[in-house]
Amino acid sequence: MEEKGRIGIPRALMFYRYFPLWKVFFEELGWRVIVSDGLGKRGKIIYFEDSCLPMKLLVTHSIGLKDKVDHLFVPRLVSLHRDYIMCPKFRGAPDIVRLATEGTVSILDETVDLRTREHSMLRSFLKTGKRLGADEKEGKRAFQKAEQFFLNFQKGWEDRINQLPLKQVFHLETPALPKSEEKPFQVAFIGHPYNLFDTDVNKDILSFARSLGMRIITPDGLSEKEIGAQVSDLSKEIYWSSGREIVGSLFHFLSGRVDGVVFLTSFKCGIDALLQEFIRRRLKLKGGTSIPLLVLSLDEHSGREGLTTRLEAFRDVMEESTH
Amino acid sequence: MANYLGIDVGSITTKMIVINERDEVLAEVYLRNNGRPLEAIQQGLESISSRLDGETSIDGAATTGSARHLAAYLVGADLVKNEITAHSIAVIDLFPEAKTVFEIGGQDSKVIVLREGVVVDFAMNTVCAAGTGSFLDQQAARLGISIEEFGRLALKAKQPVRVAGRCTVFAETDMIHKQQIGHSIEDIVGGLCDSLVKNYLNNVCRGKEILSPIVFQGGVAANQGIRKALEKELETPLIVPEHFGLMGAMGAAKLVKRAKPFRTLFKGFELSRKSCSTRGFECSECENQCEVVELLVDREVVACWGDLCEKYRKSSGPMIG
Repeated sequence: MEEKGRIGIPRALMFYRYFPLWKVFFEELGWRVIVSDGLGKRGKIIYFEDSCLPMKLLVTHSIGLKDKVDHLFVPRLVSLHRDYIMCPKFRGAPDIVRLATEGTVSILDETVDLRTREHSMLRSFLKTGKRLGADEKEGKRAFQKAEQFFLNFQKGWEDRINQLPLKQVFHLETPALPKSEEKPFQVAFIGHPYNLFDTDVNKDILSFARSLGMRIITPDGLSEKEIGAQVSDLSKEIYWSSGREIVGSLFHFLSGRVDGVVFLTSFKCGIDALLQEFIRRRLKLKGGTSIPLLVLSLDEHSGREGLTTRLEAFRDVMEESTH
Repeated sequence: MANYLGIDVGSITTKMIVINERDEVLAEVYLRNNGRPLEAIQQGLESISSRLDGETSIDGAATTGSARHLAAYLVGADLVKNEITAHSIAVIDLFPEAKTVFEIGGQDSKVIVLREGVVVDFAMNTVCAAGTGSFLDQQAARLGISIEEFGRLALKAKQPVRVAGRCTVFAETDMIHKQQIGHSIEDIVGGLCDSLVKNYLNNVCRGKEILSPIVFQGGVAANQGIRKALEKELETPLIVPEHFGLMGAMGAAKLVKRAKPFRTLFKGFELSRKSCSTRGFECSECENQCEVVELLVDREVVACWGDLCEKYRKSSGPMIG
């Protein structure tokens, strides 16, 4: 099929979960997908207003892409859950990019709000498709293909993050490998996907964890029911879906089956700051945990030493407690 | 009898200790890095060897501290261990009943929670270094007193003033203000100790179960002002080990003693007389743009690190754990 043009996807925010879906959708409609490059070690973050690190990264990646593409894809993700909402910054993300790029690039910014029928994932993508000149039938077919691909991709997720170099987990053409050898520790890594899987932000801490003999488990594989079970008895509901997922999966994993739980938080994230306090109080109420828990805070420090020291010590703690 | 060398290279100081199989301390060194860790390690080796009997052989060496990898490549270590584990090993051996370890060093402060001789939890200071040794050093220098005197003065405080201990910058502003309105230096120093202790307990120790017996170590344990403020705040006496500043090095030495290397990689004390330097370059072969560091001894490259892909590494290097 003839190439209709180029769609740029910034390597930021929910890219780290939905990229396979997005990419296949656009390709099915005959567009070429261009992803922004990693920042590299010397990467300069563009400081746009006083925002949190993930938003700064969104702006940096968008600016890096804007001259290479016909449209930037920055969906307005209001809610990715039937009942709960995303951090309010996601709602403003396309506007932030529009301001930062000073209107020099077209932005595909259809709303996704799974609390309403009108803004379902399918509807949102149909609207995006329409803007790109596809009719409803073409859009539907592309979305179904994309969704199918995404579900398959998720099934191979754990193998990907445990075997591929972390920079390559979103190289869709690289196949997921068969199950690897046994690792001495099963460790759940919890946090926002754009903290867990962005190697620029986390200094590739997951690779380091693997080299210390940890098999990485993430909340991606948990069902809504498993997450809900741990947060249903709270006195006040957590209304951010990411917060619910983090707290729910954290307590799910702390109730057994893993050797340790690591919570990656980012320094300037309001949700994370509240969640940490919340988790502390809840743990106190429960009389602590028998499974070791480590809270690692990510900031814009260039050094890796602080993270690796803590992770090494954490490995020693797990070793002691499994003996 | 076999002897073991433990080296702890921190951000501000370098500590070395030699123990024998019966855990007796044969020699120890504590010196400031003055921003040159390589020279400090060489100096440390020289002075520790001068304190040892000429016959003493080293049967194993281990490094710890934030510059543990650099130190390991330089001296030829059999084992590299993170400082949290090294510190707790030393405590568990000496005080098996301890339940909490406070460790405040040059730029790090930690808390380690022990239960029945096992580490169950730990925390380290994150973005803020308020209350660590280098801040105390700075403030002592600003007040024109030595750090030793600082501790003694704090004990003499009659009405310790309130100082903002949340942030070193604010603490300094606050102290200047207190001086200007005429508070005595004892009361200011005493107040500073109180507020730094509160900061440490509220930030680093936040959410950790602090049970006694508590062992207090690291360079700052020498500071009587901080020690007293901690005891006052927690209403319990603290145990300060005899070698409070050397506990990391001691832990490392004990670990290598347990590991009993068959043949040590230690390069010997002669290293202190060789010329040692490092140089770095940025590799541009891939987007990682690693900062690769080469270590030169007598102008020959003996080790290389910092390359994520490990293509520059020559030697297999020490056991990292």
